[in-house]
Amino acid sequence: MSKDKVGTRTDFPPTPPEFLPEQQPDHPVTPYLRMERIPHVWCPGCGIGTVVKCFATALERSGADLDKVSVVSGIGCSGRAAGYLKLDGFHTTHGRAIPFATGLKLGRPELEVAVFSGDGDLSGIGGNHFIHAARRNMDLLVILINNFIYGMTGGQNAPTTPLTAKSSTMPFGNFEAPFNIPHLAASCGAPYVARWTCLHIRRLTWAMEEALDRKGFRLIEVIAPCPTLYSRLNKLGTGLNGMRFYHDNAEIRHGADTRELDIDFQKSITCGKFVDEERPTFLDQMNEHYGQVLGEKYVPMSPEGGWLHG
Amino acid sequence: MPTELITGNHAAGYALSASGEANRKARGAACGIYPITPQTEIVEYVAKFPFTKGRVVPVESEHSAMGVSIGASLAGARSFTASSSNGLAYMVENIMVAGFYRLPIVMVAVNRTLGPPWNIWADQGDTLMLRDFPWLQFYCETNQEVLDTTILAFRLAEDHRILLPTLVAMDAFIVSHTMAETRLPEQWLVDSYLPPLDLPHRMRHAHPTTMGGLAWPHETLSHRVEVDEAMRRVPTAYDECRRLFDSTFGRDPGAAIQTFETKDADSILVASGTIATTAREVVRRRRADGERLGLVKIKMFRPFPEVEIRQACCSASKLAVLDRNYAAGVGGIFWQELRATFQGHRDDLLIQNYLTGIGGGDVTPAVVDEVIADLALRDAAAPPVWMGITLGEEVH
Repeated sequence: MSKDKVGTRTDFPPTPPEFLPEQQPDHPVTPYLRMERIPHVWCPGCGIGTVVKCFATALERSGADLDKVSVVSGIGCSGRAAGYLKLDGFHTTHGRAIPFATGLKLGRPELEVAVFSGDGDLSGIGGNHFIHAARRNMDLLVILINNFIYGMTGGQNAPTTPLTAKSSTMPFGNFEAPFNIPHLAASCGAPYVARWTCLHIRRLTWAMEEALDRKGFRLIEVIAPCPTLYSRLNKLGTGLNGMRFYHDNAEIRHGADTRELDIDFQKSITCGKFVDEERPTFLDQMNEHYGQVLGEKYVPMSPEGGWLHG
Repeated sequence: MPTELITGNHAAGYALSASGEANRKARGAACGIYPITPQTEIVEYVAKFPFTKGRVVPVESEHSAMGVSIGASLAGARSFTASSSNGLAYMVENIMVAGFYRLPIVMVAVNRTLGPPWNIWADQGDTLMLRDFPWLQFYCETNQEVLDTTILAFRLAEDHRILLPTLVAMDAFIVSHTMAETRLPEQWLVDSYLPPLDLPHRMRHAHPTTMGGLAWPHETLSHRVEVDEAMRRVPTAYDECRRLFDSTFGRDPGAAIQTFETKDADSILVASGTIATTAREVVRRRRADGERLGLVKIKMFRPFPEVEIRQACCSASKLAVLDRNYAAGVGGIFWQELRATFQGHRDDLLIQNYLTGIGGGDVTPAVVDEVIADLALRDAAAPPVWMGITLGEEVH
């Protein structure tokens, strides 16, 4: 490749190498996807596909047994992820991914249950479940993709829409204070809280890999561009403009005070790992408590699971 | 009165906004809204409308949307919202509360299949799930009918003899997203049709009350009896509202049931929503060939217009009920109502159920022809017939 700067390159965009169909190499995460459902529904420039790719890569690196990983998602653009990942899972009702996932985890404690959904689903209509799962430290990995808007229905105001940003139901700009998602999770007791943008592919993948290794309620918020709605309604340009914005305005501050993580319209986005501590999970506490109260009469479910059907 | 080419959703948004604006000399308009396909454009229209008094709140769920609308209505505002499918399912608890609080809230519902599996196309199962609630229900087949019925619904719901919330339904996409010429009444006309809302039990400083407290069985019983009496007054009040609508806007929003060629009909099709549009054309064509066919379109589902239906079907020996809905273990919901309507009155009448367009399938003239052919061969009613099943096709 030429060492010239991008601006002076004559071969930009570069011509992709030509393959015969039978030589076409598979995408590295193909084994993790239901290829019969590809192409996906996400718009050009959307960040959700990147997050799915990072998750698949993290799964591969973590060496997780895919028969023991399940993905649960709610409704909306991000909610489609459960259908594309070649893992057992379900596409639940709007906002209820966390309760469905809680039931799954209690029934099969050996599973790694990941909740994959959007800001409108998890912090809007499902906000109540989000705070209670964090409070009881339910053993779930929650990947919340925040594009600041309800995307699937066409750009309505979400509980994450920054102040003054326009949406289809706040055409004169939003005046409601948005959620600070990491602070919401941390203040409810989540033991692992991180935030990255779609541009931080390696850091996001590492965070997912690390979170897969932790226990309890783990939250990773991923800031993603929505060029079709949020960027268009606010005149922010294409998906590439979104990436440039993240490049110029994302600030990495590990261990930052979560109270300072508010996202203002087109201002800096603080990324990093903010909380990483150990706290007994719901299952740990339940087993310990019933063990003490009921003694031998209490038979905890085997952590290996599989006592019904393997 | 300008005529514009607009969608059913636009018509509903216009009607809700103009009706809300008509209350500006009283307590204005206020409500909660939440998006769901295919009704989102309605709430977007309402959110963008420059109300003189009052505002809408883009809340966090359908449950809250109806909650906000209930609070606003109790405060004396003209209140409304719109939803669909699983959104209605999530809203159910507060939908029931609005009815038992006797609040004249108007909700436009776009009929969409309840999931899972997720499906956004037309099916009436969502609003018919609310059939046992104290809400009036109207099913519309055109954009104009949606607009007119929505405006009429406010006057009917706010009538002191009624004071019950009202639901106006249309088929997903077939009406909600299809453009048609629609006459949009000017604001001053809507103002003259809808007087300022005077809710007798609205919150007042001078008479503090607590709504929805704990009640004994006999108190609850009398509350339910009052709802029942109000429901029985609806047909008369509806006809009055309809006549006044006609004299104000110069259009008839349509009777509770609308008959077509039923006078000497031997076989009558019973349908609602857009299926009625298709069935009417089939009846028109087959009448020209000399067949004694008729159509009853049911617009008002709650209260159910039993008397009118019995009168309309007096010449018939066979009814085919086309339901775009399915009550598990039973069959079509309109069909159940029809059987109850004729039970003890016309026990000789053959009432056959056809489940058509479930999950949003197209109900084409060919499907209606198939129904008619099937009905002609029957001399006794059989279990509901599922139309449109393609055997051997793999279901994904």
